[in-house]
Amino acid sequence: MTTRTTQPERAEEVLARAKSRAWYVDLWIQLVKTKPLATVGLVIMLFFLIIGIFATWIAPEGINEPNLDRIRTELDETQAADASQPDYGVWHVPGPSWRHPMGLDINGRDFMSLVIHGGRTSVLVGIGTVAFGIFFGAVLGVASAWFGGKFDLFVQRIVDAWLTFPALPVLITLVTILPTTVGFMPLAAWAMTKIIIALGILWTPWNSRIIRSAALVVKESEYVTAARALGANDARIVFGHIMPNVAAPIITLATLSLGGAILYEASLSFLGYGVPPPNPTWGGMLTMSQVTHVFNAPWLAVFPGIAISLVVLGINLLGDGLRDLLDPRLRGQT
Amino acid sequence: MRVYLLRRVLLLVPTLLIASFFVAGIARVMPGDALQAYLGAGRDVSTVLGERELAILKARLGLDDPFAVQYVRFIFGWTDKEGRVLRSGFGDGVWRQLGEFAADPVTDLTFVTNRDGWSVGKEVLWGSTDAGRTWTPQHKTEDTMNAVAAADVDHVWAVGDNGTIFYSEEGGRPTSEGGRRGSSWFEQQPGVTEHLNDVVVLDTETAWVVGNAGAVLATSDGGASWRSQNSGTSEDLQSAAFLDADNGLAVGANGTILRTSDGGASWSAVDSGTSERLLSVAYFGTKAMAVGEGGAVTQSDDAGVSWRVSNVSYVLAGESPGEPVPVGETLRGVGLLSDQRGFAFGDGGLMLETRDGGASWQRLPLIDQDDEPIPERDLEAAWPIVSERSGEYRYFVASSKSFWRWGAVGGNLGESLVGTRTVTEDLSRTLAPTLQLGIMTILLATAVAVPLGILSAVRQDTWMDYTGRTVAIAGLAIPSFWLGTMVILLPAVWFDWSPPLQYIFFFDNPMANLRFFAIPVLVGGLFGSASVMRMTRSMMLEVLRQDYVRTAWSKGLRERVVIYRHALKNALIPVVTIIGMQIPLIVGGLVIIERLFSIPGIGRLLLDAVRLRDYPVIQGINLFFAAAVLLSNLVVDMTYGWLDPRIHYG
Repeated sequence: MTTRTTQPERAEEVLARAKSRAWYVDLWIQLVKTKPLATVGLVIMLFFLIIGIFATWIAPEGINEPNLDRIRTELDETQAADASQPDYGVWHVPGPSWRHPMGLDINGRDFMSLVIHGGRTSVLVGIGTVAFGIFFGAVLGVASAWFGGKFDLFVQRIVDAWLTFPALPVLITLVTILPTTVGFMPLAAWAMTKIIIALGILWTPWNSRIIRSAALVVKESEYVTAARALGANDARIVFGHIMPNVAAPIITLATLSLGGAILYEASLSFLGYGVPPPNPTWGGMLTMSQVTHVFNAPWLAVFPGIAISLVVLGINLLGDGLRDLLDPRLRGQT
Repeated sequence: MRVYLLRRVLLLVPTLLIASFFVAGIARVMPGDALQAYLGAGRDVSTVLGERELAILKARLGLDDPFAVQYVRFIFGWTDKEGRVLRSGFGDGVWRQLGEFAADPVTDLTFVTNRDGWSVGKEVLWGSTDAGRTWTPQHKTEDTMNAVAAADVDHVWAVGDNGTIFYSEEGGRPTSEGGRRGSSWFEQQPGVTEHLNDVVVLDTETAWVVGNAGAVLATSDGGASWRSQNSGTSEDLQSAAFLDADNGLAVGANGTILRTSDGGASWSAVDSGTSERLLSVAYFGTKAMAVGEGGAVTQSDDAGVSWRVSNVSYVLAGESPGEPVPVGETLRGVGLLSDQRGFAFGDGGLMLETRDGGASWQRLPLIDQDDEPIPERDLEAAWPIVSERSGEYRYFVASSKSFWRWGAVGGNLGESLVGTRTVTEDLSRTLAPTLQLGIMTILLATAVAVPLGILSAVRQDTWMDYTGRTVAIAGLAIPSFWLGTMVILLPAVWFDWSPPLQYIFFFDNPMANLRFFAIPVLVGGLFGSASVMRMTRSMMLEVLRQDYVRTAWSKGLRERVVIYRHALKNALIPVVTIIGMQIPLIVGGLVIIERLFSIPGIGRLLLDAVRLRDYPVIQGINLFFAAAVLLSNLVVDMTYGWLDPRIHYG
């Protein structure tokens, strides 16, 4: 009590800080002010997030609305002469135009609508994975750091073992192990959930390790000791002090794993273990069977690839910027 | 250094064990799908398979065991049996190996003439028409077969686990019905599911079968219908013998002996004088003899009404018989050739003969054609034939040897469900391209990324730095499958050229091999080099800010000296760690690269195995990848210590 009155300038400081914005609001303001590249990344990410989440309303056409009137097949002369031949001809699919900015796909569907809907799969899988992986990663990481001792040792050995598995083979295996259909969900939703579960299981140990090391630092910090000295119970220390202070690495981690999740979802779809057709996914649009139409319709292979690259690029830029702001020690790490 | 190395290697063991635990779990969580692999796609397991078939299939795949058992078997191994059929020579004690039995133990064999015989074993019915010199597989069964018996050269029965009875009216010889070779064996329906242990055949119409839980079945119409007989016991019956259509004996667990004198219509238990499990019974005239576990022998001289246990000991056959040795081994079979002459056989290569009704026994030597005594082999079945020339008795024996079949620790990762190959064979077949691709990708990533990272750091905030960083961050964002697709397709569209898509082994044609790998390595290397480049740059930047670098500058040293001699060496240490961290990512990414460029590597193998739900292969690949990553991490750690003299191992 006496210390406060004898140091009035300190009291002012406290007051000023109380007036100032919350640290997480401050973070974004600082980001926009000092990190132009990361700001661009933030804009790109938000753009795709909005497009993905509101795909149904944003997409000009549905995914099952072929513009058959705009496609024509042109018989070549040898076939036309032979009346017994069925009408196999060269497909003429209109390319990008004002009406269809990304052209039509081989079935006559508006390709921009497909790309937007594909973005929804990517974005939903990304968000789901981040939520899954960060939640369990935080629980495991903080618990491991908090309890320490044998529990920590046990968990860390398991994490060690898990980290020896290369990502993509594990993902494919996990997606295969999970049942193909479940009663309580539509096929496409379940396929998405499966990828979220697989990616979540894959990344939870990674996340837990990073969060654990952050939590260990916080646990040993003086303000936790101080809180304990003031009589705070365990729950208060964990949820009131440790959790908020590991939020910084969690934000960076969440951003970077969002990009990774989108990339892996696309890879899985490309390999045929993603959301089954006719639901559009960026990876699925780039499978070989689709891309063989590249001679007639090169835009089919270009736009989904650009979409993936752009959103992941944006997220990585943002992640880099956030990491520089939040944890300069980790600068440059991937 | 050596201590550290040892400790580091020892640390690998628990990590690898836990990793293998995850891998072994794959079999556990996909049993339905594993059965699906057997049935082929598009068929529902529950509709295709009845309860019995499901049980058989699960048992064969080892899926009905507890997880701990599955795990130990997968990692360490299990006791397996290897079988051989031997035939005794003319008193020289040398036994010759007959036929090729594909390592599966034969459980029973029988001959009706000196030439025609059959043998059964694990899921295969074999036949021979040349006195056992060659054996032909006649039929593949679902279950382990336990016994075979024949009425004449045409009519043969074989029985096995899960109530299986097979019958042939053509001696099991393959038929060529409608121009297609088929089996003349067909399954009869006894209407029970117990394991059947023995079959006794009297003539072409009459036969009895005994099995577990006191099961006794009889037929009098050549097996068209089997009727259950009331044995009055629930003990497992192991063996039966019939003198004629009325008088028969059956023996089984807990010293059970059953007797019938009305063809099995009624069975009565008699006191055997022992409580050991009796495994075999022989019947000749009024003489009967039963043998079992622990060397138990019990005999009857009044057609099986009263039995007396005899403690059997044997002397060696030949000129130096030696001291009598008591029999302690399990006796698996007994046979009577007359009321005086008989034989018994069992574990430890024990082959005994008596010429005085079982009062004294002598042991026949068991030496194989390579002059190797084979007492460690167990005898499963024996059959006597009389030599046409000398009138001497000769024996066929089915012998087996238990041995430890190593699991994953011995390099045995199981067998593919789909093909006939083992997983290890599959892996070694696909290893070369994957290894080459992986090593080349990592080398390329390092060779490109490290100089670029250094340049970027030294020329910080110049156009070079910005270009390098942009390329790197783009390299992280562009999916390799898209890049690969573009690399394959765009040159095809523009220049009518496409990269070679036919894999050639390096040592067959090095140039063609390198040309083939060039594009895949470039595509795969971009992702790896992007992160290595970023890491090198930031490490170099950190080092360049250190005091000793500033000192070097202030001493007036040239830039080259400062960069290469002072900064680079220190920056490289964490870069090595980063390269190590990249290895799992690059290895995982190979799946896509191999798929894109049709490289016949492990990644492609994995995709095929996943499509076919071939879970032993999936297990093997994941375990292999885990081991490979662990090993490369170890190598990276070693390099780390070698680069940084400050680290003292120990």
